[in-house]
Amino acid sequence: MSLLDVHELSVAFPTSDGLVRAVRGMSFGVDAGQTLGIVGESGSGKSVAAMALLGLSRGATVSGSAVFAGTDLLSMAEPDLRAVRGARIAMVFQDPLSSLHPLYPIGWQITETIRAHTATGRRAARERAVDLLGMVGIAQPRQRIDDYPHQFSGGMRQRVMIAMALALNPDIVVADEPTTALDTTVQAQILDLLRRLRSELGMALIIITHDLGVIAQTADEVLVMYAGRVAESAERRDLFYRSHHPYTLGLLASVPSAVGTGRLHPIAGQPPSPIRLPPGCPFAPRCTYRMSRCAAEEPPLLPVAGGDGHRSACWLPADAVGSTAPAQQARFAAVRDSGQVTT
Amino acid sequence: MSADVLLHADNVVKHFGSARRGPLVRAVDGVSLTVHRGETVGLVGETGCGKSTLARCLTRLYELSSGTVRFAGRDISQLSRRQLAPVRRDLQMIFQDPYGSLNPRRRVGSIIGDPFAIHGVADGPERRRRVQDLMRLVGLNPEHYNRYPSEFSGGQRQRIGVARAVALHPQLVVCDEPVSALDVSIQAQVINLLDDLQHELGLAYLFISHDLSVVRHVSDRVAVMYLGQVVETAPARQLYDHPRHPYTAALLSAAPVADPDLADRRERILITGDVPSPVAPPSGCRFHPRCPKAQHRCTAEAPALLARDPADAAHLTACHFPVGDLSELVP
Repeated sequence: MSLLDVHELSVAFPTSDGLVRAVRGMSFGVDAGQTLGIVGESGSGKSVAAMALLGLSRGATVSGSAVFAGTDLLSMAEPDLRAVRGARIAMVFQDPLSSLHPLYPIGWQITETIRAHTATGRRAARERAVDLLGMVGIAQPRQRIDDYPHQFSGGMRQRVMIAMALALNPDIVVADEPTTALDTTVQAQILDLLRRLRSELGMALIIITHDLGVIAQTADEVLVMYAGRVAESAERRDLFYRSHHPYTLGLLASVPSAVGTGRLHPIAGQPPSPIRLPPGCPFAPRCTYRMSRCAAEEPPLLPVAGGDGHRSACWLPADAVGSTAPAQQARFAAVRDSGQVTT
Repeated sequence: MSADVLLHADNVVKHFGSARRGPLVRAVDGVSLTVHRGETVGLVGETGCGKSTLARCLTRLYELSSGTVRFAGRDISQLSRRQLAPVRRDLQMIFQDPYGSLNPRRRVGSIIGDPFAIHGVADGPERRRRVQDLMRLVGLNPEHYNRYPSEFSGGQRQRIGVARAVALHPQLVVCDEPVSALDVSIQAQVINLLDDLQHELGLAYLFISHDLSVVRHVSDRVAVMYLGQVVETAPARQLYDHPRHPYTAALLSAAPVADPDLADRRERILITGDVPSPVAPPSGCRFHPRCPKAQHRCTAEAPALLARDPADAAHLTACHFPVGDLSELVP
């Protein structure tokens, strides 16, 4: 039993162009003290899934379950959910400038969070805010607590957001692209901070990002999303070194490596529209290992040989992992030549 | 100056604002840079380091506050709009935002055909044929000639921007964060396209990005900017393997790599604080307040961009105490 157990989460938005099926049957669990990385490109459904868990996807049709501390978040009444959101499950968003109120001092915004959820006096809440700011690395927190968001740099604002998220000792912090708006050196500081706080406070951390580099250095477990589905889920090293899903392989081959300068191998084409998904596997139209079955049947998330908890939504043989090895290349070629492929 | 120098910027300065109305923003403060024919020079740096401003100075989208830019042997820093027009055939630019840089109300065929129209190169059916050739060249379907930008994805829009930039076979294309707005799988497509075009058309690129691994991948030489100045420049491999400026070293060690073992193994040089404001840059070496190696001299005297090792004349570093061994910087 995990701290948070998400089962068959689906989120759809009715639009004038048709139903946008943003998330389709996503399941995962996250434990205390663990970092779950969710990686995917724009429109893969990674952020929508997180928002839906917290009841922040207004207008959407949400189904499935998300059991947190014995109760299902998705069937919770709004007032009950309010008690959880921000207090026990907190969020850090990408853009700290638009998620902080520009007209209130940061201290006020942090104490408001504390006082909205707990019966804390004004003075005690302020002391707590000073402690929090110090904890996230704001120098001279007592002097800066009455400053406004514009008086901080981007990295400092993100620290303020993190302080606010930690204000009520949450069990889970969901960080949606927490460093995407930040510069490289500041990004490293923030990732370090999140990692340190996670181990000090023992909370669970869910990092949502498009950046495989961020995943490689922060996540314990990784989910790769494609077209609203989990394409592959694995422990961090398995995902990078024993990838199974051709989409994961394609993503890794698209990233310039830290050492070589060889030609990149992009994934051809582009992701499908969430309104008009292709039949069968949504990745099939772009996939080099496509077989006739792929266009007909959408593969479920199946266990991959050798990795504990390693799963992949692909019809390739369970032991066809890490195709960068020459033996595997040959294997794939054999699968392709065996006449199962429609290309 | 050797014959294959295509662009040479000498001590380019761009300040915004006027001294009478508040402080000047010293966006670019004395940058010298050379691009040779057919090569790719990468320009990296964090937000506000002046890399985009420099790009716009080099292409004369901005007036220079001082300094000169020589392009194909000619000083273009003082040319009038009219005099610049023929230069622009050879000096083109690709922008970051494939949404903002294409007019949403014009058809793709006419956007890509603009260079032909402006320079009076081709019109009528001839222009259409050449535009469709270009669309094919950059991997767009020529039948989509009459579509609007909104009908294309981000990656395809960037291909439109590329087609427009290379239409007249320029000698230099300044690419300002050309792939930053794109998803990784699409990013790789555009990088490969730029690479193919370079081979096919003999282009030189000035490739600006905050993404160090992309810059390493595409560049022959790399220049690192910090607060309006170039702090280090070297052949790409040399710079990445043996950075000598503490800022370059820190930047490289901070960049996330998509390789768990490498990420775990790597010694991280964490520098503290944020980039100071270009309104009031620190005295002496601009990096000194964040530098783990800073000494008294660094606060007083600005280091020049010089070859610090006589055996390696192509590797220039603006640092009084250049890094010899990276372990010096690991706390």
